[in-house]
Amino acid sequence: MDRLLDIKNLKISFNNDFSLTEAVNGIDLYINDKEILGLAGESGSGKSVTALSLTRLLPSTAVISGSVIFQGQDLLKLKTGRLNKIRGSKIGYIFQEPTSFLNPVFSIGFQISEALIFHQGLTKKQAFDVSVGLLEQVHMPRAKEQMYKYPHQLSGGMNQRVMIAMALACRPKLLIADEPTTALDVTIESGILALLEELRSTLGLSVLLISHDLSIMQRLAERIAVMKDGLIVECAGKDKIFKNPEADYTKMLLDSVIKL
Amino acid sequence: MIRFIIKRLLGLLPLLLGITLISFFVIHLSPGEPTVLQESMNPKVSLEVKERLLKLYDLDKPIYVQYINWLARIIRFDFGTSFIDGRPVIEKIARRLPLTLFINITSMMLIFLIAVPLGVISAVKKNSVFDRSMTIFVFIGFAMPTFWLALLLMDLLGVKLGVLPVVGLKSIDFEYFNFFEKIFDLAGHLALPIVLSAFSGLAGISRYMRTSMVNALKAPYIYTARAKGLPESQVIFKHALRNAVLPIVTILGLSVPGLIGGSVIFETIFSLPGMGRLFYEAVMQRDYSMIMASLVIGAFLTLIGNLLADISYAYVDPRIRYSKQ
Amino acid sequence: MKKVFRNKLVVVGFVIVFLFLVLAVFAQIITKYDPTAIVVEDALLAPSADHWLGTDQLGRDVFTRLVFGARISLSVGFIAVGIATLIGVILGSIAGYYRGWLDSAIMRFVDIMLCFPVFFLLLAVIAFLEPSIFNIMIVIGLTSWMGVTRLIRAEILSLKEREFILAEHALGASSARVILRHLIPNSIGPVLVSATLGVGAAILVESSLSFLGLGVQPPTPSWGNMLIEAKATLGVAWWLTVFPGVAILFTILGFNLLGEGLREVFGYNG
Repeated sequence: MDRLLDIKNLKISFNNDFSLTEAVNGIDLYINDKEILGLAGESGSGKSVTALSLTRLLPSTAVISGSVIFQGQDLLKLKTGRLNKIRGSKIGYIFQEPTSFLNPVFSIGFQISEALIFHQGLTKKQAFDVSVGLLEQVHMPRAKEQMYKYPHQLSGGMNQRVMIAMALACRPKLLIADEPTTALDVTIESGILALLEELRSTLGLSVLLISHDLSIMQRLAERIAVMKDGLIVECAGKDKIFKNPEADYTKMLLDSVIKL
Repeated sequence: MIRFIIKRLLGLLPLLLGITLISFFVIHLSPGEPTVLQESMNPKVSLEVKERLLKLYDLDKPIYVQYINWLARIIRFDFGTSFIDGRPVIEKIARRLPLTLFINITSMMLIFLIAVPLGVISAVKKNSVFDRSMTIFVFIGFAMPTFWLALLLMDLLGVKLGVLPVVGLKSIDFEYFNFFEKIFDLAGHLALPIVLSAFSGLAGISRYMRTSMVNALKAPYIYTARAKGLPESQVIFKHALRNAVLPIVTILGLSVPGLIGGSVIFETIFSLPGMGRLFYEAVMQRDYSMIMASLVIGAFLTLIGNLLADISYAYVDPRIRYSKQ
Repeated sequence: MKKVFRNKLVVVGFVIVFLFLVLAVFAQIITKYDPTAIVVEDALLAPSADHWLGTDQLGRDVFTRLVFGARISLSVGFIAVGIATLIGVILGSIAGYYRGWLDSAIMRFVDIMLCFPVFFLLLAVIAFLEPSIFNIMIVIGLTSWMGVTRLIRAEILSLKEREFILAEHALGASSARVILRHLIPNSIGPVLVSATLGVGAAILVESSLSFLGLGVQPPTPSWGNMLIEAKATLGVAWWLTVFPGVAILFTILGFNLLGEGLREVFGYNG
């Protein structure tokens, strides 16, 4: 299988005026074409920081080293202008709290169209039509009406569908989903997960799914990497992780899920 | 939206009542009834004038009757007549108000046009040389006695360099100018007052804009905008700026009383025939009815300023524009 | 205390304020001239070894008048802020502690007061009083307590929720005791910050009033009324314009730096 994304010896630390705080201490990880890779671990383990670092979305206080090879290019060394052509067009993101990650003062339609206009050079009218199609694809009821709405007028679940539509607008190769359902109700979570599964197979996406919740991993992921204190303690196929874990930390995480 | 405006308007009623009550109280708190003052200012005040005043202000009746009668009259914009020349107070104010409004509105626009870019640059280039110089400027701006700055600039631009007229609104030969010369003449006379009036509000508002922009740049939706691949200019000037500039509308509204109060100083220094100077003259001459009217109208203007700020805020912020309330 | 003086803003602000305080307190020792003595033949002398900052139209020494003016400005600043803070602390505590209709009434009163352009209100009151230093202090104090009131109320509301206050109530302490012993001492930081900034603001108001001829009356020197004379001699004697303004600017700057520094030290924003 081809590797879509190959992370080698990734280290991230934060420069806080006086000291460097280590967040990620050298990890190797890859994602195959059309694969869902789960990245599990408790909060603070460095998984969200890893996700943001892949396209250099971290604030300027972050010091990143190593390499992130995506389609033959090292994203960590790419010029910002070239990187912007990959962000949103080849790699899409969805985040934990959809309502605060959408801009409150722009309409849903504007926010989806934006990437289409920028990356694909569509006119406003064309972008509008494509956006309506995208909203239909993520099963938004009355898609056309929703285009004129603002984030505060929609529920969290609906906003996450908007985020997904936005991330997929330019048909990216890779979707990075950082705790996509953590802020949502359980009933809505199931719908969003089903949508991700469906889109993965219809669009042939690769997904980096980040979550603290192993039950989500069990449902979606093919391979799972377990992260603790900035290191990957174990990375293997789903069946191996769930049935025959090697690392003590993985066992502990599994125990806590079973108890629940 | 319409319900929002109506709600706001209704909310103003108790404030309006409070304003009149305090204005009334302020004047009656002071020792010496207006008639006494009138006499002390002008010993030749005839008994007839005194009688007239007594009747006009119901000074022989209990204080609550005085207030209610006075309130009933000012609702009809009847503020009585000036103690100095006997002309209706409201007429005199109406003639002077446009200039004051013009100066304040222009300087407010100037503040907005300068403070927003300054704040944005400071926030984007946080801790840069520019940002640090801005911090120093803000501290000096807060501490600057603007009437002194006015004197310095009058001295420099008016007296030493002679590039700007220093007093009044029009040149002596104004009547003989053509249209463009008239505009140019007025602009020259108003340049310093407007710039100084803007300077007095600039420090605070550019500081506020910086904080607002720094916060906006840290907001989660900025990550989304960057993740979309938008160039940094669009991230800053579209996504962050639109959010950061909204609260400034409210802050500008709150700066109205300060600006109106400042008119007293600027119009007096530059001898401009506005409401501020009218008020100053009334105070110097103890023109009781004029002072009372100016106080009420000054507060009234503040209320209108706040109301306009609220409404424009509601209009530009979709969270209020499309809320169900 | 060590922590306070490690803050750069505090140090710079304190040095400036302290300098002006020394000038004000030791005015008589510092200068050999009389601030009001008229010496006609010395009129409008430029700064020199004899008259460091020159003399005015009546031959009075500008430095001497500045030093004595510092007395006036600082005492007006301190006393006006004292009055405003006292009113603010009392009204704010009552509003925050008792809530209910008392709270609404006080806060509505604050809203209404804030509608008035402060300068209009000041002038209106002064118009009916003699413009003496004493009256100026009181009037400035009476028109600038609104901010402190809101501040104290907010502080008390948040403090009230904390455990030690609840415990104190459980032990049966009286309301007055809780307010005086716990709530007010615990909100001292923000009050100190706002009072320090307030002194600068009050000095600015006093100098503006005096400049308009409605504040401190000549011949008593005040920075504001010294500038009236400067206006009359515009373009003739630069030292009359420059020095009083510099004094006002630096005094206010000093108090503002001190206030902002204390705000940083106490780590409160508002």
